[in-house]
Amino acid sequence: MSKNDIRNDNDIKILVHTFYGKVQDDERLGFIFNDFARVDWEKHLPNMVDFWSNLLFQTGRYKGRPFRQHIPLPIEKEDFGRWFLLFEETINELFAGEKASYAVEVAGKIASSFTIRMQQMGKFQTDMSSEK
Amino acid sequence: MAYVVTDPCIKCKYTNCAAVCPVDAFREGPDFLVIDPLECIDCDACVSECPVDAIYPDDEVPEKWEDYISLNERLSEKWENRLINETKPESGDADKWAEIENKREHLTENWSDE
Repeated sequence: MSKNDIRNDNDIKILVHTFYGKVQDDERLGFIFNDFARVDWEKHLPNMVDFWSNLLFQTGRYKGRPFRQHIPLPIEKEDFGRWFLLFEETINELFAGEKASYAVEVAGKIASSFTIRMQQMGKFQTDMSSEK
Repeated sequence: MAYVVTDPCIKCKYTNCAAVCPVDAFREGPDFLVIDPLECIDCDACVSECPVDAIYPDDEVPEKWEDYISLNERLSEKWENRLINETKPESGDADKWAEIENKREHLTENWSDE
């Protein structure tokens, strides 16, 4: 069956719900989201739908401070990479097209941006132990 | 990492960039915009919106404007409550200022109502 591009809110909902299903099943990311941050998924998923609808369709719905939310979490250097790979995998399973590619591109930028910034802030334990 | 607004924006402030930012990272001064480096997600959407090419990723800011990296950081705190996420009409002489380079001395940091 040929895949469609991301076309509307319902597609974004499918993307976000499938992706965070994978996140919760992931040993590392599941720990950060569920055990540490104790994310309320009923609130978080609609928020992430708004985030991606804003990025892909400029709906203006997302109001949040994405980077700041991550600062207190026990994230390690490779975690944003895991997050990105799961996102890319989800997109490739479900969609194909311009918006789908753009979503992967932006996710990659966010992952590397957040990684570099947290590293600059000295947030990674593994970095600190390797410097000693 | 974050994107940085540099010199060409001063006295131009076209605001097209702020309207496309997905995370509302732009802050507004009287005649200049800055990007809050802790809000920017490096998506690149704003760069092509700027008619005077004022926006750069922080590792690609031209050397002569490198001080704008810390300026964006400082002014985004100062203008913390001046969030801008829509286009506003530019001032009448914006197009004239667009022709001028190195305008740092003309930057106004304080809003007249403060």
